[in-house]
Amino acid sequence: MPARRLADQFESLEKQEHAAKFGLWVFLASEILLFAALFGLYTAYRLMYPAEFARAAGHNNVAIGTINTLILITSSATVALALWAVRGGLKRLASGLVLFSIGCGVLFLILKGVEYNQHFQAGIFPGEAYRNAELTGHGAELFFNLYYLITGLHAIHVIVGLVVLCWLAEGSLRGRFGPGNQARFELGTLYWHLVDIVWIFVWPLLYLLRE
Amino acid sequence: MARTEAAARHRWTHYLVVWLALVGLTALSLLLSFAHLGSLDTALSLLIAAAKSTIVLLFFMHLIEERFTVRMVPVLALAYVALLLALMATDVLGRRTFPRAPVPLDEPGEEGDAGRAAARGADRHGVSGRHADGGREREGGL
Amino acid sequence: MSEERDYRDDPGGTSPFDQANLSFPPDYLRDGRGIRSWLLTTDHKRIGVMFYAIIVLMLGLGGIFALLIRTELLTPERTVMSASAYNRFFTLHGVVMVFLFMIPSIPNVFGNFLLPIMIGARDLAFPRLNLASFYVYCVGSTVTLAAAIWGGVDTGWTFYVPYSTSTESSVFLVAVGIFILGISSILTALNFIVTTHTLRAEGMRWLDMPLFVWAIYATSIIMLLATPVLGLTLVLVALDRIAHIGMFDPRLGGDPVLFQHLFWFYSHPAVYIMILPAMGVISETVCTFSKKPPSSYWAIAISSLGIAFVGFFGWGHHMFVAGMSEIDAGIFGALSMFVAIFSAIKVFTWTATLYRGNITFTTPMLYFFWFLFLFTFGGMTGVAVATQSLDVHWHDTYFVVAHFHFIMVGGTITAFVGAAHYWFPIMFGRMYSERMGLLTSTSVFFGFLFTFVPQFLLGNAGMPRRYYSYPPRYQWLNVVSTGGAYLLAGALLLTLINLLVALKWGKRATPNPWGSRSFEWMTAAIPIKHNFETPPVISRGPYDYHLSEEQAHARTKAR
Repeated sequence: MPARRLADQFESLEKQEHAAKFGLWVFLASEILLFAALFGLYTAYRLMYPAEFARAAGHNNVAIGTINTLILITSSATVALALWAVRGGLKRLASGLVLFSIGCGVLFLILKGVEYNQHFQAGIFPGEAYRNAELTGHGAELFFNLYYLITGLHAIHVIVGLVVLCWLAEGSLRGRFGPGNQARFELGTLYWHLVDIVWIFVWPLLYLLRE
Repeated sequence: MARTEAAARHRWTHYLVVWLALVGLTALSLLLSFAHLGSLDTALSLLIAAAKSTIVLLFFMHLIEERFTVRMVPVLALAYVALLLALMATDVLGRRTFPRAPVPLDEPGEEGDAGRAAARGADRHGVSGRHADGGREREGGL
Repeated sequence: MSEERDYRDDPGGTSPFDQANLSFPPDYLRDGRGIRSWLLTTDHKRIGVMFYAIIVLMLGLGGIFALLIRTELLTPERTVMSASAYNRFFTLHGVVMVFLFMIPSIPNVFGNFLLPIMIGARDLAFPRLNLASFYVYCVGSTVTLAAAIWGGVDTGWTFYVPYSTSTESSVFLVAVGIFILGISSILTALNFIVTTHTLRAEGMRWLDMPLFVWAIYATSIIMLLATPVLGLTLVLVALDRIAHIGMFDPRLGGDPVLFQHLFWFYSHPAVYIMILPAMGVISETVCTFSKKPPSSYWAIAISSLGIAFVGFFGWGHHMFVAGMSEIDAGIFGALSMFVAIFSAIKVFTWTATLYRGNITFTTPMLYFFWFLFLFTFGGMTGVAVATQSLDVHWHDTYFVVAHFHFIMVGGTITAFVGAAHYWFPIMFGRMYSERMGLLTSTSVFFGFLFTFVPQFLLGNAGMPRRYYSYPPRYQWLNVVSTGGAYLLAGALLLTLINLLVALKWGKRATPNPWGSRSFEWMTAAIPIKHNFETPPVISRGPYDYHLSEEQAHARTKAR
């Protein structure tokens, strides 16, 4: 296992690792505020068009939404277990778990794609291109705009998270992480958990609060 | 190091239990959504979502083992999200326009009648939600 | 040595830290030569200097736009440009000044340079991230300024919908540019926050840090939490323009007021991003040039945090007449008052610090006095316009314009230029001409007064802002204001020339020419690349003027 390098400005490796973790949490705070803008718009528009939002939400595929929620929760668990494995020196288990989590993420995106396709078939496009004849009215269109914006921004984060997970997988396969040397691995897992947390809030707002 | 020791103390079953709790709460949320409890729907589903997120934060992200300064970071971020949402909601909820949503001027003429008729009912904030959508549907979709 | 060394007596060039002594490590300017050693540096000081150069350029650019605006306003009708050109110039003035100058100015220049030194660290926590922040800033500025060439923007720096989503001008480019600049902001903020938490020297508790560090720390919290909201909001505007996803379009049921909520959720805390670092500079200068600790360290430190947190609460006071609900407007009005408490605490504390102090009237100290006077008026008029019933009359008039220029120019730019003089010796190892400094400083002050005091009167008399033409009865005040603007511009230009001349021909600085006790002055005349040969160990406060300089030095060294 390669030795961890102490950077010049830190007095100890422990300090350096704490700084990195603290830094990542600080970054996650900014990500939370990024989604906040969209949640703010959702809140305001829901209060303006309560019935139309509820009707439009009913058009979403609860099954896919719920399965996706369970997928992300599971991938969160496996990622946390992967860190546990890294700490215990179980290199192969850790890599396997990370690869499983990547699989979950990919499956999530595939299901999202299926769902988007279902919407497109129904003529539900974002913005001006909206063509659905059944769900008319400003509220419905705004709901679906928000739907695409929120899930789109979330999907971008899933993709970034998958890249991070790939890096973790490669690192654990090559033995770059291990007991006492898992600080950077943990950073990657924290990002993936954020992706999960955002979806935990997105799911009820877009799928459950329906008529 | 305190963190590694704490983590080493966990068995893998610790994470299994957390996962089960999350799945359980998800199932509960789903079931409740079928019950259609009206205005309780939003409060309950968001409450459960908050509980799930807290569980992920505390146990998967190990916030429960972290020091105070690290814990304050997500707390502060979420507090400011709450501030933004609360004061945007207060704006919309507090509007004495009817409907609450803005009505563009370039919509067809009957709009004016609906507007004036609606204005007479302007004091009835509480029911404006339902009326607002009913009113808009009467005007016809785009 | 018990007598205080007066910087004016120094012969220069004979200090024990003389760079001619080759066995001594070279200072950061000389350590590593060639353009690559600068462009690929991770030294926070060099990054700060690179920011310095570009930011001063941006100030100049924004100033040119300002002069163009003021020139146009010399006569009630067309003077030198068309109305649509005028709209583009005031928008660009706002965009360049706010996003390319004010937000990054003191944090990215002086914060970068001084934060690690002040806390006894060898660099920031993430030096490469710091360099990345610089390059992201460069890209963001380029994209934003490209919009100026591509037809400009005419929406005002506030980009209100529905005009910003329907106008022909280059809103998309500017939105993307500012989004990129926001990333730079967030990266810098992250770096500063983590550095302050984790890299303080041994023996330095939070309450031992210089007040400038508290100010930068509080600023970073605001930058971190507020900027993402602006970023996303501008993305929504950009999406509306290219993909017609009209989240705020009334034709699609959208509400333009919601744009304003999201925009001001960032842009109101943004004004505290602009003033807090300036307040930090002021805290440092008043202590150094009164040779006294602050009359209450705790008050200034905590009020910095107070402004940061409470500054988020009042954004709706920009929207009193926009169509918000009355109850929301009332809430925002009440919450806005709380921030003023913290600002007032600072003003009183600074003033009290002067009492029984040993005051020297150097250029930075003059800037302190201008700041105190102008910020107080700016702040009080801020409380006035945050009062809903008064704002109904003043909203979108020159009264508001004067208010925020009192704070931004009278506050932030005053402090920025003051900082430029105050920390000039430590950044460049030279002393500027004090006489020229006093002259330019006074000219800046009077130029400012002539420019912006008439604008209060204009606004109160009803002249709206952003108007190209106006009734003739407003002309004489506009003429005075324009005259003042040219005076201000000339004074600032002279200031720049004074400092540039000093860079090459100024007297060599000795360590701690001002006789300060603050930690950044305990290094060599110009800091070496890693700031300290051995990490300092702190066993005193940053404003211990009861100690002699020798004792002060001794208590920042490892035993």
